[in-house]
Amino acid sequence: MNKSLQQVIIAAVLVISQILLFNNLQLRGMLNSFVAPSIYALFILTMPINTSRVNLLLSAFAIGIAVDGLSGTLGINAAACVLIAYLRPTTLRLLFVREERDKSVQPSIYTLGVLNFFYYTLLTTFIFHLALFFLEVFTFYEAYLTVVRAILSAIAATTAMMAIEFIFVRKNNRYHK
Amino acid sequence: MNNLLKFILRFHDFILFLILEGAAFALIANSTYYQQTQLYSALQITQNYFFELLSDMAEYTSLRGDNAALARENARLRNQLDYYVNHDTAKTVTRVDPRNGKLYTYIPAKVANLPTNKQNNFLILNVGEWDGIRSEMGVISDNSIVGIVINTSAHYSTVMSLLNRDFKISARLKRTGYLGSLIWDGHNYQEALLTEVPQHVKIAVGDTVETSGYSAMFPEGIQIGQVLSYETKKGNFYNIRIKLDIDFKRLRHVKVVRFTYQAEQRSLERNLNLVKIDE
Repeated sequence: MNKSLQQVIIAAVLVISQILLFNNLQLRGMLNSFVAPSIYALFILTMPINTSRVNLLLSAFAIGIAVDGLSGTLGINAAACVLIAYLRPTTLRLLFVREERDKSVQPSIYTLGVLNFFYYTLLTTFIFHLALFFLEVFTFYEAYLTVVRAILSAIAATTAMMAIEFIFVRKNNRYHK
Repeated sequence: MNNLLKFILRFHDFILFLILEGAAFALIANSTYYQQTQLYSALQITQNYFFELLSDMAEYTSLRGDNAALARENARLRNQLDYYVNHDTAKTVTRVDPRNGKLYTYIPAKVANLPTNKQNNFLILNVGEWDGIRSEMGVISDNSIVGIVINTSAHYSTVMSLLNRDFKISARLKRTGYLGSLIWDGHNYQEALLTEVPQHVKIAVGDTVETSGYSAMFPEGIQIGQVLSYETKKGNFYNIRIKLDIDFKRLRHVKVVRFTYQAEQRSLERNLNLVKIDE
């Protein structure tokens, strides 16, 4: 299948599962307000390593706007997505030092290693949720609570993303769909 | 000029980053509830189809609970009816307009979409302008308040939920009658805060909090919840934590409250504002 068409389908599936499934998580008591994972950021995390920053930024903006439109929040998802897309090459360089690897591969649990991928996902999702939640409340009042929300949601999102990786990604680095 | 081009070429990633973030922030800054709900309306055809499908499925699983709630409400209404039959109704002025009947009418509705895990939650109801819904009407469930209608389309309406950081109505302590402002602090979908109650008021855990009726969006005396705890924060006011009577996760059927003289009251309030500006 055409590579870019495949990417578009993956993005669509992630956005739809975000809107219909992960935005409707039902948890008990305070957990309900504090765990709101955004898993569609996995799309930005797993774009091929040699993708240019321009491409990354534009794709991130597009997918962010799509989620914003479907959940009735204008701009906050787009802003958070563009931020992590811009930071992605830096984060990857931090964790993915071996330059000799094939640059056209996608970051996954097989190409980065399970532990490295975990750190990469956790770091990125934490930044993502921090930006998202501060933009959502748009105040630094009770900032520690927003940080706690970001930490808990990042952990939940990372868990979900690792599960998606284990279920859908095969060793030859193609999504199993 | 050449240098500028070189500069742009060298930092084109960062400049694109700034432009996109700028666009996102412009969207955030310029989006009002009106635009957000317009956006909702544009997506409603497909989205509501999904949500109604889901809520229809969910409805079967909660039939037992819904039945129990309806039975409870029936009993309560029967008691009220009994009260009015056996008492001199001329004395009770609440909710009855002495001139031509009802002060409030209730329009039944079904919840089509019910998020609870955001900081600013909005419900979608399956009734709209064609059913007589207008913005700024209150929404109640069988035993508590739910939110305020903020936008309507022909067949659907968007409601700012009580679980919204921008939600604020006046409420009072039933026992002592003191007024405060009911807000949601975003921590827990089962709890809300009653603020601006002066410190000399005596409060007991378990006191009932109810609507004051001053906003005209909600009738007077609808129960909201019970006092869970209270504390004094800087200043002269209490911060009272309330356990909400309503369980937002089980909400299926609601009623929209239509205040008969809403337009009249609003025009009076508008005149009041004009007078203030003139002075």
